[in-house]
Amino acid sequence: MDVCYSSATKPARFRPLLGSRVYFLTIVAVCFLAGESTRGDESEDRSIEFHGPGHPGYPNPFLLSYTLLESTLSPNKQFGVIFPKLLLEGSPDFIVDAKQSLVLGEVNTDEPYFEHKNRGGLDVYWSPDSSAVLVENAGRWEPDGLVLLELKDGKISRQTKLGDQLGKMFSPAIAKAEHRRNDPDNGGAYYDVKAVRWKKEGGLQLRISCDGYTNPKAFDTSSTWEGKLEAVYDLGQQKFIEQKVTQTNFSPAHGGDQ
Amino acid sequence: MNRSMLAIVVGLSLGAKAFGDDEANVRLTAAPSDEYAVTWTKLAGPLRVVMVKNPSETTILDLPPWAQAWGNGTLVEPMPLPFISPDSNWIFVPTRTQLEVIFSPAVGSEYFEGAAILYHRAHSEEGTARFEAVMSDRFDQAAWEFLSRELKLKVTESTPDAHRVFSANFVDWSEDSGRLLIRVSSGVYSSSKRGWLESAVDGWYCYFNTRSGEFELTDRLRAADNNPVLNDFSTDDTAALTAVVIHAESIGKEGPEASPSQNFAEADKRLNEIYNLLMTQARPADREVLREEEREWIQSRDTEAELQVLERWMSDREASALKLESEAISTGTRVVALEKRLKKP
Repeated sequence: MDVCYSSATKPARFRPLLGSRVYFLTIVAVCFLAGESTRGDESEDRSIEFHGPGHPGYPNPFLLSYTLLESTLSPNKQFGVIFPKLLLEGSPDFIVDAKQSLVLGEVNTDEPYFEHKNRGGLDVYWSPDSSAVLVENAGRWEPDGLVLLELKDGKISRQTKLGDQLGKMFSPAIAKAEHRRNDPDNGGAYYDVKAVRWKKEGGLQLRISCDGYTNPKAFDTSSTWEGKLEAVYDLGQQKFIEQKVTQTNFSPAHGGDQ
Repeated sequence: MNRSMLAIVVGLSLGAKAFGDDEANVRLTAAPSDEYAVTWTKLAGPLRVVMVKNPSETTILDLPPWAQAWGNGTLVEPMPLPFISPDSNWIFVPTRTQLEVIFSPAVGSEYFEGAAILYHRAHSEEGTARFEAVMSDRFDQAAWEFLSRELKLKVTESTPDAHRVFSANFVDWSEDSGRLLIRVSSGVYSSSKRGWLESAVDGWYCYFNTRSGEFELTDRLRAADNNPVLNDFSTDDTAALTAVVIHAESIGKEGPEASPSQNFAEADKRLNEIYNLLMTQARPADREVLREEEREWIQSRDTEAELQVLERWMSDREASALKLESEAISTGTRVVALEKRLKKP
């Protein structure tokens, strides 16, 4: 039986739409008036003091230059995700034990999130039992990092990068629409994570809903594909066990390459 | 000073914005002796020493005239980062005080001139802690002048509109508090030519000896400062680390610094040998457990190295060297633990 334990759905983010300049400007205006996105909106989120370790006699980097937001805490309030302020831009994001003020480990992403990162955001989806978390380090066109971290006995037991796998799942559908051979290494889509749900089916499973797209700058000379993806990752099997891609829009290129 | 260091410099200044507006008083650093803490009132200071047992007993750290430009109306706000010696008698404060923003196409970045101040504790008759600046002139400038003499650095002829900038970055306190290790940079910018007459990117190591009250170089520092790769940023990291110094030598304990690259390479090689041996000795069912354990250990090794870099506020090649050193130590410990599990032949 498919039991949904928790879910998180994000509001739609702005994407340029082809052939609709008025719609484009309207969306821009609405986003502007509405404060655009709720991603990484730290101003509405209470920060919690986190000391972490420090060197005697030196400024404490965690106290001065890292932020622990209440929204990143696990359901049992024990764990959380901290990210650096501008002062330490480029330093890692970490999973921490908020109760014991311990750093458990860094989140393995190529471009860590930092406070006020341009076109960035940090979304954290904890499993209901606080044993696993999906950390999304949002980027301009797609996540800069989408990492699943599993915890065991208060330690990180495994980290799995899911981002590239999700992007490549769109590849066959795009290739089919473009009437070309599928090349999974060079044919994926940019994507937005729209919703994340944890399920308990024997072991823990993670259902991720994404909107995928190509041609984000809407060049006439390139085709544009848009679609949706529903994927299920099984933590016990350490792999995606379900994936379904649905095309919602396709506009062929107007001359030039596809 | 390379670009990453410049980014840190800018970051130091921008860091002040990182504090919430309601956090006017910030506790920056606690003394290792737990006697006092250094606090700062944003945006313009002052820096205060607050006694832990009696918080009403505070001493304002006097800023020399050349360092009195906190929050002077520019877009960025400076935040000092005090580094207190192990004996708690010295406080080194690298600051960004002049805030002269220079854009150079050559450097491609903004440069903020940074003054550095070193305070020394003097006990007053009442027994309260009092801190005084070690020199009335600029500490960073004095350090650079010492280095240019000692290392015979090429000094660019100044033009009437040329402006020399200085900065001194903290690297380490020696365990005995006898030496402060800093990396010093200087450059000359011409407003009319809109460019650097002398690059401010390069930097050299020097000590301030707290017992003699003088700047000094030891063989360790001379070797690093005279190593051509020190300021050659095209050099790959492995070679570049031969010119990196991350530990200050205690007085009487001078000598070359252990090579973190070499130490790590040796420890890692030994670990691989033992790990492979253990895998061959293990029953098939236990191999996956060992693999899992090794994955977890690598995660904790890397995290520990990152924490070391953050706790010591290191950047660039010093950060790379410190990471390698930390990884070498963790690996050495792991080797010992795994060796105990090997079955004797």
